[in-house]
Amino acid sequence: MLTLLRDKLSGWFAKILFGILIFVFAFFGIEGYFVASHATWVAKVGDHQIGSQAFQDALNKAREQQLQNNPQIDPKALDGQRFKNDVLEGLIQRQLLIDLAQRSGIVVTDAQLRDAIAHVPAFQSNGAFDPTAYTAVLAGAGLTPETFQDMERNDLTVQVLPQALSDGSIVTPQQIDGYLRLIGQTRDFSYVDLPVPQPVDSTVTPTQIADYYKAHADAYMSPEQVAVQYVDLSTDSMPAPAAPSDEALRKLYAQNESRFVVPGQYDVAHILISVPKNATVAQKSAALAQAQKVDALAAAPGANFAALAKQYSDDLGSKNQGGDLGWLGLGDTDPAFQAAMVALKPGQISKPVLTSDGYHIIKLLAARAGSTKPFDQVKDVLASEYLKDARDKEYSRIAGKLIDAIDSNPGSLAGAAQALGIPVHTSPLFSRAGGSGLFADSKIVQAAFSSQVLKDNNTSDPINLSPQHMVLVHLARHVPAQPLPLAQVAGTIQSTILAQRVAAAASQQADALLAKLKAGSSLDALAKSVGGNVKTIAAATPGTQGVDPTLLSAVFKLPAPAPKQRARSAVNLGQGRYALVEVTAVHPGDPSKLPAEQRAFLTTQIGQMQDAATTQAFLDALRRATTVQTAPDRM
Amino acid sequence: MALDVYDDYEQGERVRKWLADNWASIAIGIGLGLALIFGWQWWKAHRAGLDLAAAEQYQLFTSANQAGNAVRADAAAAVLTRDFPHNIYATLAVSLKAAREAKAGDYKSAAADLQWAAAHAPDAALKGLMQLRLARVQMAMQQPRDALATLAAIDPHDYRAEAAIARGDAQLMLGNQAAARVAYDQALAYLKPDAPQRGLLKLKLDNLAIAGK
Repeated sequence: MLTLLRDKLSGWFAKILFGILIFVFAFFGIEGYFVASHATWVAKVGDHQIGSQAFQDALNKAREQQLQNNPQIDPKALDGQRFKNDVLEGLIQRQLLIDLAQRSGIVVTDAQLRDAIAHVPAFQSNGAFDPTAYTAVLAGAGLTPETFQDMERNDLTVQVLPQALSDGSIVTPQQIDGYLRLIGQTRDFSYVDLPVPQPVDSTVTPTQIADYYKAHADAYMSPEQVAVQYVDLSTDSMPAPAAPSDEALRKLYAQNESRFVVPGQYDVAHILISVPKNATVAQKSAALAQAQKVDALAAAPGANFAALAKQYSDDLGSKNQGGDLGWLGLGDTDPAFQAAMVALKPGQISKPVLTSDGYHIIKLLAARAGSTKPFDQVKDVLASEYLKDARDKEYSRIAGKLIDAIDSNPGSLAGAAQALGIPVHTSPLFSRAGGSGLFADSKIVQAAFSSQVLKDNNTSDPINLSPQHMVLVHLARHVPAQPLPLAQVAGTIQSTILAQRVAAAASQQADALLAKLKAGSSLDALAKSVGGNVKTIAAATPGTQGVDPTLLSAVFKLPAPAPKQRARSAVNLGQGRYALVEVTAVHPGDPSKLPAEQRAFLTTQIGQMQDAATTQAFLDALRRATTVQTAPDRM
Repeated sequence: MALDVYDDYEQGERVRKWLADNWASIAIGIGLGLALIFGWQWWKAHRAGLDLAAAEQYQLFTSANQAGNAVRADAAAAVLTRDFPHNIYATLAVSLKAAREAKAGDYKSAAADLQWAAAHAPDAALKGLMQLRLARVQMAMQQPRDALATLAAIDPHDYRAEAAIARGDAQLMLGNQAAARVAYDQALAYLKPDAPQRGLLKLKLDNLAIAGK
């Protein structure tokens, strides 16, 4: 057989076959060396890849942190691309810092590491580092000390640079003075409110209106509207199931009997002969002997249990009440105590019972037997539960069937609904701003205007308004945005045209007066010529009350006049109102007036701002010097 | 597929002969390889040792500096600048020393330190930051021309907004309102829309408004 094989395989055919096989085996998989393997990084900083898993972890951590800091935050904000970008940016910056630290030999000494770990509050007890707490906390987090130390070392390494950058930031008093001079600046100015002029021509012809309407067609459109067919499915809309039969209810009652049991109660008194926790055998037998003696006394005819309790009981809480413990339910006492107590008949006295406290001699004073609420009493409750349950089940069943039907035929809502006997309603028209009732809900409006519904003419995904309330919509009618008829908007257009004329006239009047003012007329004279009067404000700040804020902001944007000169302007206050204004003096703020502590506070504040800005610029500079790639599609 | 077959003895002889002819090259090759491996290991350990020594020195410096012990801090900083001048820790320590000096009003020492730090910074981004701080200190020393020269030396791609604001401030000190305005306008263009410095920069610009605008 082997000989045969060798003979057959030494021919030319076998050589070719071997050649092919060698070729296949040698080069199989070689494309893996040329084609990049499936990449999973979301960012590449230099040679370092930030994997999608690391990114997801960081994202989850950041979300948790945001939710903790601000529970009212809109969860959508934590899902958006912007938030993801911020988190990724943070990871990239951290990696840039790690790279720089490695490149420039930043190391964390063992002493620093030890010191940092010793200062973590979770590892301390009584203000000092506690090794047991350390191991316990790490074990709880599923970390070995080595991995934790590595993490901590990395964190410390990353912190060295930003810390040094912020500690080394310099804010000079000159910067603070400059800021105070600017922020504390006041200005003296005078102004006249110009009267709103009448339009030169107050008649608006229909032609003018029509022309305006044509020129501004976009501004006079009705909003895009839709009407939808919809299914509003909730447990309440389920048909009332048939009232359950007595038999069914009885079955339910039997299944839930434990819910209707009222447990028994026992009014007991006891005498305790205590046995210390670590009693010797002698102590124990002494206690038992004592207990048996008291038990005999109590069981004797005519004995006074209360008096005996007062005399012998070691239970300080009850001995003065004659040993009475009041009404006890099951589970209120030690199991051994309870077993003895339940076995007694009222008036009977138990043999000594050993519990962890010692020997008890128990007397049952009275008992209320446990009972079970009879069926008739709970029938109504059961019936309403039965109905609710039936409706929930029916809802789940129908909702499930409906969703299945729509999944297989998304184009038809009415068909699927009618097959299941669910009523289909049609909504009135509503716009993207929402309608009334159900259609005021933004989730429904969004679904109605989604491309799935509007463009593809499909049924929307189920919109869950609450766990047992679902709405599905399908387009019934689409009214695109369309021009409003001229007749409807003519009035608006007329007043717009008039307002524009007024504005033009006002601007013209203001320009003319400003020219006169610049040519040398006094503000007073000009004010008189238009029947207004001059108001003068001294030492105004940008927040001065009683002056139009637009005017005030314009005053502070005017170039500072040279000494004895004036800066003049006509300021548009809107709706045809103008003010003619003249700035007479600019007074810089006085840095020396600020109290020392406020100055120190300001220095810190400006320092922090400068710090944040320069650190960011530093990171930007690092980033510019490193190749950073991101893969937003994998985020 | 017949192979030439030597018997064991013949084969052994051939190997022995080859070894006799080439043993010197082989030994040198192995020696070189070992030297390279151990040399590299030694060099790495040496560098790590230096880094660690510098880190310890820096640790000494920061703890003394934070405790307000200027003498001890400066002694540690001096060791760093002398023994590890091109290590990043030297730059950091000197920059922290400069900040302390500037806070105390000793601008001359602060400027000298920042100049040293800028000259020795092992990283371009760090160097730019030192220059930026130096310019601020020079302005506080009433030397706006020097400040402008310092700012001009910063890599024009880095710290664009910060440098432009500082340039504007320096020009304003020289009384060049138009140049200051140009610098501030540049800064405004470089700043991100939500940058916190924007408000103050706008104030500065408003204050330099030109008549007729």
